[in-house]
Amino acid sequence: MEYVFKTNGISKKYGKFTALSDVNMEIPKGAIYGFVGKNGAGKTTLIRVMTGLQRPTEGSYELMGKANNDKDIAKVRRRMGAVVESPAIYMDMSARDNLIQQCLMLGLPDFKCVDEILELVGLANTGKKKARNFSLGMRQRLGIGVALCGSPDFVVLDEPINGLDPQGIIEVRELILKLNRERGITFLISSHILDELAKVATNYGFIDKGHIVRQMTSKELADECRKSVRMKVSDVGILSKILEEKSLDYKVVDSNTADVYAELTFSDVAKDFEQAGCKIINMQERDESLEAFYLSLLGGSEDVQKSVC
Amino acid sequence: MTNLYKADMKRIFKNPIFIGGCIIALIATFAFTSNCIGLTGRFGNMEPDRRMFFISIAMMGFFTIFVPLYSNMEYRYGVIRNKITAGFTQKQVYFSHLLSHFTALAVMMGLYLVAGILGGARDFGKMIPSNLILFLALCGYISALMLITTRVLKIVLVSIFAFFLLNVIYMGTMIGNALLSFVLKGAAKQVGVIVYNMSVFGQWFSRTGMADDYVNPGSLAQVVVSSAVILVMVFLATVGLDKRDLK
Amino acid sequence: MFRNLYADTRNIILCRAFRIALGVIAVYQIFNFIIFKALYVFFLKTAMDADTVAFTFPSIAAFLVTAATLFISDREFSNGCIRNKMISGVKRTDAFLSAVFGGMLQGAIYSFFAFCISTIMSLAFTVGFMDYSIPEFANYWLVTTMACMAIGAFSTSMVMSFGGSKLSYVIGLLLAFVLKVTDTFVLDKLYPEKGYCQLTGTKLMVYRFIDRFIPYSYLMERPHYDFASYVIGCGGLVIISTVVGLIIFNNKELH
Repeated sequence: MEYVFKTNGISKKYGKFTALSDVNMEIPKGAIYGFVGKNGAGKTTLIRVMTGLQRPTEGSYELMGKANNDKDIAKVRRRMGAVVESPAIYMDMSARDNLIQQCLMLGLPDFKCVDEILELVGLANTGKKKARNFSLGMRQRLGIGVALCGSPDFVVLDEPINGLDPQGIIEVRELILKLNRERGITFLISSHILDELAKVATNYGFIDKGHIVRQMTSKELADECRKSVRMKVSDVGILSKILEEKSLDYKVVDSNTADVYAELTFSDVAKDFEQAGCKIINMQERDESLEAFYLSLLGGSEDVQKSVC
Repeated sequence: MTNLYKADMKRIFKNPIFIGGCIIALIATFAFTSNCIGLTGRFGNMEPDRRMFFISIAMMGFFTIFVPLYSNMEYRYGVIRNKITAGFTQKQVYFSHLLSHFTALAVMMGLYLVAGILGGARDFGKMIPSNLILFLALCGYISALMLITTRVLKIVLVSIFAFFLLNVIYMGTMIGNALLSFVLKGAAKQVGVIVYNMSVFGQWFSRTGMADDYVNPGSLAQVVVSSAVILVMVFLATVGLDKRDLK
Repeated sequence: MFRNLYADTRNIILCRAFRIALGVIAVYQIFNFIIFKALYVFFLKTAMDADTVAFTFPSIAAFLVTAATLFISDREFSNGCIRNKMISGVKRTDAFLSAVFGGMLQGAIYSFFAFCISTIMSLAFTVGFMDYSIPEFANYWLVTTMACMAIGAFSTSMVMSFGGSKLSYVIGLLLAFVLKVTDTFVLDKLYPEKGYCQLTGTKLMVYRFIDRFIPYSYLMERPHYDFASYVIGCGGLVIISTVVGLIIFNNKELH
């Protein structure tokens, strides 16, 4: 498999503080890689190392086949775009001028792509309005537009939907999917909005305290997210007794609700409960969300509200 | 790096502060040189060439404001991240800015020369070498400002240090005049003269005729001193620069 | 109002920039003392009088007070903390006046601190004053303190008025420098080394006004006007900058 980005034991230390520790990560070509982790887990640090803003303390990485200490890595970086933390734009310039600046800097022969990118990110009608007068969402979109200059093969987006309205979120999602599908651009998206990430990502990397905890494809994630049946009963004590006799995995949610992690046939279950003198008020099939999976993987509150997919 | 330089030049030529500075340079130089504003006393009695040279020091003040405000934008807006991500190094970004400022200075000096000639300055034999030396001295000053801008990232501190440098140069020149006249002798005096000419203000002052003759070590010495200042400032600004972590 | 005043004052005193400014004053005065002492010992070969080292602070006062107040006041805008004040109900007038008071307080503290250091150095390491009596020494420092307070108020008022704009970083420092250079020129014209003052008419009035009523000039030369002039000059700058600044700040859009 071809990888656009591959690390080999990357560590990053700031004085005594270790932000990244022995990170091994691979981003397959053509993937939309969802990068997930708590605040302070090391996502932005790794992105900074990846984009060349900072150097690793130990370890190495390969970017589109070139090692980080290769003298030709600069050429390869021309094929990469990134929005790291906040959008990097000139506040005293219009959207068009910002893109022209980026094109000039990349040495592009003309500015034909500018109009197309403005259209893509929804800023075609901003005219001569300076970026300092843009809303947060508009600046975010302009940042993405700047990252798309030069037709990159690999785009890194750090919290790309920050500050976007629901319409904007949909548009960015569609844009990412479209560019990935039509142009084969590989994306790395770091985000906290997990449900949104679940709609686009083909691969995931979970990071915690500077370590990559898991990497998986979206298919593997779907398999791991546990299906359950939420049962609302009149007596949860009787439910517990029955399920334990059947050796079924379950979890009591409250005084009359429990989640059962097994395939259940309603008629069999109803018969057992009726015999035991317990009424079944409600039964509902549920999938564990990415949020719940993330919390179970990286730790969090035990009272996880599992949303219905 | 050519691309970076071209991009920076495009930005500078669109920058309202630079455009305003050029217009003021043109108008002020013409007005001062031709004396259409009715100067009297010392300035009224001067020839146009000397008056023209006198006003040239205003460029030092202009670049004290322009260089930090313009170059600090890389860090203030974070646009340096775009350049680093695209494969450029911090040194390349630094050099493109430095060369852009030198070019901007050359443009401004060009306008100043045109305005001066239009205002009546005619002594080309003196004008050209004086202004070339001044250009180099101003390049040294810009290099010092770029050192501050590259090493100090917070805009408030950059402004404070830039004006601190301006104050030190001004006060240093004034104190230098007194020290060289009354206190320093022999080898100490020669060293004092070299130190005096390290700043653009010192070199300018020595060429206006207001300072004593021994303060001017000669054109060649001034060129050498300015070149040395540029090299030292560039070295200090770039040493270990590529290893610096950016946020 | 007083709660806000207390909060701002506390913020200034606890700020690292404030302590750095005090450190700079101490270092500058001590460094100057060492240089002058070396000059007197190795070149002039005479004992050093207190006049040489007692008044080194005024030469950097305008710049230091402007820079320190700029740095400390600008944080309100760069960190966005001014928004917290507005949101939590502090009136704009109160916020502005409190900031200006803070600027004046900074000017006073820096001047007093410099006074203490110079007094110690004068008493301990020199043979005494040649041209100043004790009342004249005290008068000089009083005028310096008043000038620093006025400059602190003016600088803070400008930062609050232009807050968040690039201009605020530059204008105060530029003005301090330009007035310093202008004042050298003005003093040279009013009190030439050789001969008498040749100025007449409007030019003389303007130059005299600058020398008599602009606080930046008070730091360039020993006091040579009546005390009322200095009070008017400093008070005038404080009042004008506060009033104009208040009008601008009250109508300003905060981002």
